[in-house]
Amino acid sequence: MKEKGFVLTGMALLLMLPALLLSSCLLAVMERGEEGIAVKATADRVSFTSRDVENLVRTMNLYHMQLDNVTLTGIGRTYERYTGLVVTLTLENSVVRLEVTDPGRTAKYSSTWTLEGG
Amino acid sequence: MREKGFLFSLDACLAVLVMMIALAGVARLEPWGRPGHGYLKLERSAQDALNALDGMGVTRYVIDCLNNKQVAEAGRAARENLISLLPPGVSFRYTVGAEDNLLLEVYRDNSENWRGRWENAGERALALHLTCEFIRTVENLDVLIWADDEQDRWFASQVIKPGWTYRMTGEENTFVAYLENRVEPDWYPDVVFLPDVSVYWSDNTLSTLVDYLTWKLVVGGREIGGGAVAGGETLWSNRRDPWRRLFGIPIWLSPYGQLLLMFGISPNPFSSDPGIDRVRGPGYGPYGERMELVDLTHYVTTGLPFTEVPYQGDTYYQYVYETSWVLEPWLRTLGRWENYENGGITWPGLLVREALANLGLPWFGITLRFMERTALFNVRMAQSSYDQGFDGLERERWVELVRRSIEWASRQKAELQPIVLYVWREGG
Repeated sequence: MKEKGFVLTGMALLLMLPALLLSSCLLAVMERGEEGIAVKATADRVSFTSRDVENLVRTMNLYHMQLDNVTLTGIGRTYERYTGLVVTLTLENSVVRLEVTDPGRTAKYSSTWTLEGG
Repeated sequence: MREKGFLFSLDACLAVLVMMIALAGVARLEPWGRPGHGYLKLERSAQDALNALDGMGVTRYVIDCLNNKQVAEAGRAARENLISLLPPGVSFRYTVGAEDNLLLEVYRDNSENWRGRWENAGERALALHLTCEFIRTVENLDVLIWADDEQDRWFASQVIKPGWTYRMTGEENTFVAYLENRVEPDWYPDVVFLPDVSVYWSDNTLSTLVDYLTWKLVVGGREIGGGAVAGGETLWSNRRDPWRRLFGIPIWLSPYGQLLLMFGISPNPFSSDPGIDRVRGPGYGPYGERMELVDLTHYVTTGLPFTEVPYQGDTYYQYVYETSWVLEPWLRTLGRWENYENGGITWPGLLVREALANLGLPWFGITLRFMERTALFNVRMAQSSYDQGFDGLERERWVELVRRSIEWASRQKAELQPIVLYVWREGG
């Protein structure tokens, strides 16, 4: 009886084994790479948001706009609503404390400064 | 002849092909749902573009245009600059203002289907910039406050928002001088706030306030007249004119009657009765003392997270005013008292009146309004809010309503506004 069909030879099998190994390695490399990108993206967002918050509070102080804990909490909430980050902004004795983190706590920015003329 | 070497068979070729396909497939996988390099680039593009707009002064220009009601010019400036800043193939949505109350929304071009494309975009990045420029621009939101006791002063301090400038007085001559712009030439009120006037004003003070409310004229940068926000005590404390009653003179001819009209209250032209009353204490219903917001479509009430506003009704009066049928087309009752159970009768708790006439000559920078906007709260809100029995939540509700009323009466809104830039790749 003559049988026809595709026969996976020993040679082909040997060639496929490294392919499987390479695939799994590639997956591992990609996971690392994407983790790095995710961290970068989160850190970028935290950094950009922090700078924007600092600039805003300094500008408001420069123009003698009212700055109290109610106002600062409102500012923090607005940033949270759009960026998904946790923004804590408090004022005590003219000292402003800012903390920006992402919910997964991958990246965190914190700073403290004194309001001029405060 | 025996030949040695590597034999690359058809099978091996196929295996290599399968391997290549598998590797290519794996390389395209994003199995963990994390953002890829593409997202990082998009997000950085958005952040850089927003920073560049700010640095180039475009943000400031856009806000200036919006404040001058030049929305098309603001959109043009934002669009042209964003197209030059963002990489080709990247689409954008640029918005100014809260999502439920956008002041500006700009896409790459004026096609109508952008909204759908933005909503269906696969990978979308955003950058947010919160700006206080609107508060700076609305620096002419000036509030004149009448405060004749500690509670008034305290309540006013709660109401004042960042960016507002205010003058507070409880002295009639000073109050009149501010209304007539005789104190500080560069400072003139856009709106008068009268939390609970407990003083019996002179006819001169009443007349000056009526004059201020009757005509609002804007010529270039100069303004005359404005709107008012008042507590019910204001009108009650100044009820008068017994001698007119004796002689049968219609009350609307007096400054007091005219002031009632300014707030949409009927001075009852067919009698000398001012048509106002006040009540307090228990017995006004089982629901507790609270005002129910019955119209949530007005600027003052829209989007509020509450519809009931508690009041210290056992201790403080509520004022019962008969609204004017003549002014009915311009009047809106935003809040009603729930607690008066007399045949189901309820009375207005918060009344707002629109200007009766609004004429504009934009080419000459002239605006003329007759009987500028007013808001009337039929309560003693300052005293009530100051009371120890009032907790923070209840107080905040009154403060929020008053703030919005002041903004509405002054026609200006001083708030921090978000500027958001969304970017995405078409077909991505």
